[in-house]
Amino acid sequence: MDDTISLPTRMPWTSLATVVGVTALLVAGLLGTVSADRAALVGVATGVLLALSLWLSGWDRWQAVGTALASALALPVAVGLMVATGGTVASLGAELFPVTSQTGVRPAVVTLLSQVVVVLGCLTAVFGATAATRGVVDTERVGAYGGLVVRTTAVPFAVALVLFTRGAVDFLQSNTGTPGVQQLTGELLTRVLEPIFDPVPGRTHIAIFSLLLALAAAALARGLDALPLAELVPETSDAPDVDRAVAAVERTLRWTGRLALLVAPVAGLFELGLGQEPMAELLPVGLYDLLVTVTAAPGLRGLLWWLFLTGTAVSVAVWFLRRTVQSSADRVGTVLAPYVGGGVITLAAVGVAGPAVDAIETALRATPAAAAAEQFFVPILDVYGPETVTLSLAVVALFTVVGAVGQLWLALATNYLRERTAGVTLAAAGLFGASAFAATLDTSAWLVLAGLVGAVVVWDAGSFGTTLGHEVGTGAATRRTELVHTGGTVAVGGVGAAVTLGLAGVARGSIAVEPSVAVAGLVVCLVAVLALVAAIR
Amino acid sequence: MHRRVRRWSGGLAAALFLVSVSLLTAEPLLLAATAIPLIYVAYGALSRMPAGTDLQAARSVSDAQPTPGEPVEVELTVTNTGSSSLTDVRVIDGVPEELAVVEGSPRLCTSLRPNESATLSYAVMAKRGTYTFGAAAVRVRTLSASDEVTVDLPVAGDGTLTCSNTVSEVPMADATLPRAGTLPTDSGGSGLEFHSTRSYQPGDPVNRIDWRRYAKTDELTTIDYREEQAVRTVLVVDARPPARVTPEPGFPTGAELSAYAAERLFDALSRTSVVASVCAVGLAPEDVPGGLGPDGLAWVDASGGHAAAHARQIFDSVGRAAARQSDTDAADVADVSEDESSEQSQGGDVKVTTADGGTIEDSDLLAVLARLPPTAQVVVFSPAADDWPVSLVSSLAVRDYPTTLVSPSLARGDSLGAAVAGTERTARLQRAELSGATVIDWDLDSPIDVALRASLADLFSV
Repeated sequence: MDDTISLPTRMPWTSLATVVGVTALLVAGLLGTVSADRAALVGVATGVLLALSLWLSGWDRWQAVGTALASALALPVAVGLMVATGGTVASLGAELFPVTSQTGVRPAVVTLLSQVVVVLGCLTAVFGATAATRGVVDTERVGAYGGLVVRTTAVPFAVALVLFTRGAVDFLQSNTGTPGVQQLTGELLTRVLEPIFDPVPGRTHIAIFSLLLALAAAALARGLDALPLAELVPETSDAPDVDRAVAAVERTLRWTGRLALLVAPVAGLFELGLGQEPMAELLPVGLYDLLVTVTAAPGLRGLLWWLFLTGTAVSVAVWFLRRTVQSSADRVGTVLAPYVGGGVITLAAVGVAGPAVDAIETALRATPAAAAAEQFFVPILDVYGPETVTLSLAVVALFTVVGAVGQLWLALATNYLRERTAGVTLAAAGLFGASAFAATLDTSAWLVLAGLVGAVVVWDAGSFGTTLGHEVGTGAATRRTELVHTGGTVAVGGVGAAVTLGLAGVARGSIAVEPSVAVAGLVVCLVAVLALVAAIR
Repeated sequence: MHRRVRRWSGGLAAALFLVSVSLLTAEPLLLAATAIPLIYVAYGALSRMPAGTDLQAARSVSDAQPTPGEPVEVELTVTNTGSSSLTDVRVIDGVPEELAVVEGSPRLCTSLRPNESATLSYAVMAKRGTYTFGAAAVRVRTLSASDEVTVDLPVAGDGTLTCSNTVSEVPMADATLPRAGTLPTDSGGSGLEFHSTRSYQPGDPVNRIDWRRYAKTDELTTIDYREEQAVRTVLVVDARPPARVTPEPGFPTGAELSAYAAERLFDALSRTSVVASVCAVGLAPEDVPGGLGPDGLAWVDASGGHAAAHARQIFDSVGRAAARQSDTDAADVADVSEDESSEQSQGGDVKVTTADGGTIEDSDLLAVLARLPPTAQVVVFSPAADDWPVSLVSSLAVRDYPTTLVSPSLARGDSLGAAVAGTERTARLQRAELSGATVIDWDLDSPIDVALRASLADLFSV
């Protein structure tokens, strides 16, 4: 059998059902131990949404639609991730704190940490199991989704930056003690723009006028060149010869531009070196007056400036249209979708800004950090307004998604997570971690042991099924082998659970370790875990 | 090949993780729970392939000599002849690469108790030629899947599939050809002109007994007449690249089906008194043993010695060309666009004639027309995937050759592309018919013999 052939095979149905069923049962059981119900449910939904987004971002059939949907879903995923972590912390913080004595702090922190880990573990498990159904976790797709979220974030980030800068400038200006920033920038702008658009009357400004003329002529010539005028005229014998006329105008414009460019430095030298009076004497009176009138006229300058802008805009528009026409609609849609999605997210964030900020404020006030919220959050809200704050929070949440997806990509790219079994490995790891931390909560021992064994079963059934699908394909009958194999794994897990219960019964109260020794042991264990994982890979 | 898979070693990391969490949260249950991952590590480490594992396989093929395009059922039975149960046995039958599996899967995964058997069945699409099944690839794993053995298991029973053109029945045993009798031969038999007499042998036709002589001498004598033979029949097989299309992967190409139909007719004609020449158009020199003729045609004349063997070589060459084409296609998928553009540029200077008197610039067409004997009847075999056969047929019609076009219908399935191709083909066949040729539309669901008998018997009988 050749192991190198990679057929697009999937897990057989029995293994898939085992993975999904066991994950669903364990997640339901584990979430029952978490007191922050709403945050936990949001976490589970986020796991499903994240898997759905990954699948959508690699949807070949409707690439543009898939990209647009995945982009729009980035906000719910980001908010879900924030609620699952921050929401759990906030709701539990309100419940557990303030503690009555010094000794109560550590258990409270451990409980808080455990609950957060259980919620995150369940999120990961649900994501992994959902992703495993379609096999969507691979380096390419995760990388593409990461890029998609980054591009989606670009629009709200830019808008938030502008809003933030405006808020900061307004704030600085409102302070009487500081010099008005706007005033300073305004003066600088005036000094730069005045000689261009509003020259001092009564003297010649040939150099700057020529430069402006050259710019406008060049831009117009380019714009005219870009326009498909000849193609639009019907090809009949009596049609006007547009091509020749356009060529003539274009030639004239180019020559005007070149001439103006030549004149500019010479005129500049004369104007600066000689001054106005010798020039007036040198030139005939009528010509000098005409030059003064023409080169210093603000209206003419404005016209030239607008001509320059129009020519450039036409060139850019035609270039863009040509590129668009050459690409397929799906391709154009795929490229533009993240920015459209970003725009939608921005509008949504601005639209729900008021209620969202109120909700966050209420939630923060309920926590022990109410004083801090009062001290920091409220003044920020006053200065920047609810829109800027909501948008900034959305951007931060989106950056969290980028971070999480980036880590996943890194794990896949460095092969710590194998592409073929990435989904089930994530599901199993999430379940294992959540079950382990659930032990510190008010959880029955059988649930913890079922969780630990179940995590192994999920991984085993998933990786066995993937290998089976790869080697034999889904067309062959494989159920019997899968059931026998999973039965063996469950039986071994049952023996392990029985041994655990026996050991726990024997050892209860017989082991006592000093806290310092425990900490040292903890450090050694963590280093050992890292070393072992590195060695296994 | 024996291999150990370290799939449970992650259990060590899981155990250390549990110890860490236990130390962090001061939870003794987690410390005890390290037993779970550790027991899995032990499970993986201790699991070994049992000694005395033995498997046997046998294969049966429903029809070892099928006709091309016919699905053939294959069954492979694997039996655990060892003493221990095998929880995970994966089998892949050694299907010849050239044959496509059209139904079922040649793969199996099952658990087998001692002396238990499992059977996998599938169907392959028969193609011309002889194909040998390989050994079955078998991989056995332990229950923990941490120990595996992979072997090539020799298979007893049927090992080959031969798909040849043995003629079971001559479709035109009594067929007479339109130009019969114009070419006298030196052998005696039935005919018009007196040739010789011989003594009567039982079974001789009564109307050839010389009754006068019997009346005179009381001896039965049989009169032999000069045997008459048809003028030549030329079978033209269209094997050009456009004809090498296939409706489904693994299905014979249009060129192969044309060659098959031509071979059936050739065999049938050889058994009657018809002199048949065979010509294949569009082959490359490397496809034909001995190369092509100077005019680029693979041509076998009936007059030469070993004509039947040479004709068979040409039919086989068509199959080789089709196989070479599919290999090249697979290798050059990336260069399709370039090929298309180059084909288009080549196509630019090849003009195919029509019956209305256009110029002929297609070299194959010119070569066929130049090589045809003046009094021949022509049977063209082509899937009519492009206009070439219609041009040939109409060119032959204007030169007054009696022409027949046998066209295997390749359009299968309900896809839009198949519908368009089918409509185009029907239009071409109609044009060929309008130009004066007899058209036989061979629907692949019925054997070619039936199609030939239905059409040619009518055509050739007096």
